[in-house]
Amino acid sequence: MTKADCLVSVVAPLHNDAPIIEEFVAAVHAVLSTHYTYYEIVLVDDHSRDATTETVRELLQRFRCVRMIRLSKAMGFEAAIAAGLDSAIGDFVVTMVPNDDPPDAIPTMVDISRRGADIVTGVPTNRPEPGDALPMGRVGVSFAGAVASSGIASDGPEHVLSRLQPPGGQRDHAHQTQAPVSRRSGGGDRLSRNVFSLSIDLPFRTGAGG
Amino acid sequence: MPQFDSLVVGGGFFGLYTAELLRHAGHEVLLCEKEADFMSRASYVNQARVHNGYHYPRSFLTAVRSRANYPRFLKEFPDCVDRSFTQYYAVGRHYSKVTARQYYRFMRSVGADIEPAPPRVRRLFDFDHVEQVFVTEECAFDPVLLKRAMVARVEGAGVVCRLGTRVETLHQTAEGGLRATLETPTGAETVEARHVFNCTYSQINALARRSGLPVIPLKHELTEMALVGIPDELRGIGVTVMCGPFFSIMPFPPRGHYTLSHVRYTPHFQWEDRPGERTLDAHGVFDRAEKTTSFPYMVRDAARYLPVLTQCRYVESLWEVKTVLPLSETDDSRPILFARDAGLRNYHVIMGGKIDNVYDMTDEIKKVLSGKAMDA
Repeated sequence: MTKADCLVSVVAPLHNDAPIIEEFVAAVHAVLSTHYTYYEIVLVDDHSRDATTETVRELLQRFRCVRMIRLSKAMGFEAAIAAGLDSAIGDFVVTMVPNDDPPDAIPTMVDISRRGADIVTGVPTNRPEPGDALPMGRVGVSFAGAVASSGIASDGPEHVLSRLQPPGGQRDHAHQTQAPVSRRSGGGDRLSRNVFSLSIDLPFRTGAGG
Repeated sequence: MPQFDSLVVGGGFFGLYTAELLRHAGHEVLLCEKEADFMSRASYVNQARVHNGYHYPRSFLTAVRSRANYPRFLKEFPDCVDRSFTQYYAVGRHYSKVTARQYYRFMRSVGADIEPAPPRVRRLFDFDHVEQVFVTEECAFDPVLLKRAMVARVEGAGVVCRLGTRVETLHQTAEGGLRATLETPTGAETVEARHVFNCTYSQINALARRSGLPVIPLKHELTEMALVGIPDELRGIGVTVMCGPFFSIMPFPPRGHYTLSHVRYTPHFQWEDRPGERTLDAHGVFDRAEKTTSFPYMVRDAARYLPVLTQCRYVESLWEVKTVLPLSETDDSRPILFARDAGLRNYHVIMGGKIDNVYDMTDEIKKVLSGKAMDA
């Protein structure tokens, strides 16, 4: 299988995730190294108070692609994702919440983005209906998303940065939220533009809706 | 058996400079270089920056020493420096260990010329990522011209030079001298010298280990600089972003291209020589290492600060082992190592982290030469 010639960043917010982080990084690394020549995993530690920081430090020794950003105080995972997006260097950036979002979805989401979608949002097919008990673990929201950053892969020196809004209202309706995107040119001039956004279901069926 | 007053091991810039200094002090000097040419390793593969203090906003002593050495280097090697560009130092807005104000005030306090960059240069930067851009006074050296100049000086002074010759082992003789076994293109040889100066940089402990001498704590990194063709907007401009996980792009005079190096991506891996532990031959590690370029990472990150870099053209990578003293890790300083009688009498180890602190070394050598008690 030929590997795609683009750089993919995975941004993951962490908060007291020491027990799961190693498995998550190993799974993401396995997917990235299979599909891409160039990739990075940006772990944003939202000021965890458990062993997350130490665990990630160990992972930094083992995985060259891992970078860590530790927030100076707990800011919430939206802010953590924003910090990760701000530091990510990929042509495509996939935001993932460990334990909730499936690493296997990365290549499909990136492929859709490569074909022109600026933002791809994953929606869990097993999300709870209103009134259902939330799944075990964290809040019942899946936030997998790919954000295209056209810096190198396309023709112009433009960057796309997504200013993520927390999912409005009920958190399990993340797929209804559209993140506004500002596209910047080299000198810092800002242009607003419309965003072509796709929602896709996870795990994937065919194509994309939206 | 050939007898010399001094044997200098390693024909990099420091070895050449040391050999000439010893010869002018009246010594018969033998200089051995294991490669086929002088200054072909770390003295060639480096940023070619002549430091003038701007790189060390967190080490007052290093910045001051650097500023003292800068004019000396320019005066001694006027034909080996490239002044065809202007060096700009930018301060990162996030993740920098200093702010633009701190940087500016520090440079003023050490007497460095520093002013905000003109608009035509500022326009190239993304000020979401840099806080300020300064115009500075700093140049590059051409390692090939420097080599020619130094080889001419050394040969003119009458130093005996042997290329392709590796110093295998050192031992103290019963008379208190030093005996070296050499591996030459035509076979093994033995020479004797009163003094031996080990100027082999990353190979310092390799010679020590082969000779059963104490290991000096050193840290090594396999480093990569990308050689790039630059867009027209960057002609005549060198850029260094301080002071954290940032990058530098500046002319590499012998190739006519620029080098792009990145704090996060230039070091590929690192290892340490620790006393009491088995040490690795750094050039052996270098030869065996898998060398896959990190240019795609370097350019993507650097282009966030300087968007015009997306138009860089990758030419090739320059790889080398970079060696530093472990103690310089914390403050980014680059002190020289001068270990006198490092396990054997009159066996001295010299290491300079950068080309222009050769002047910090000369005083130490003069002390050795004047120390008659140690010669007896």
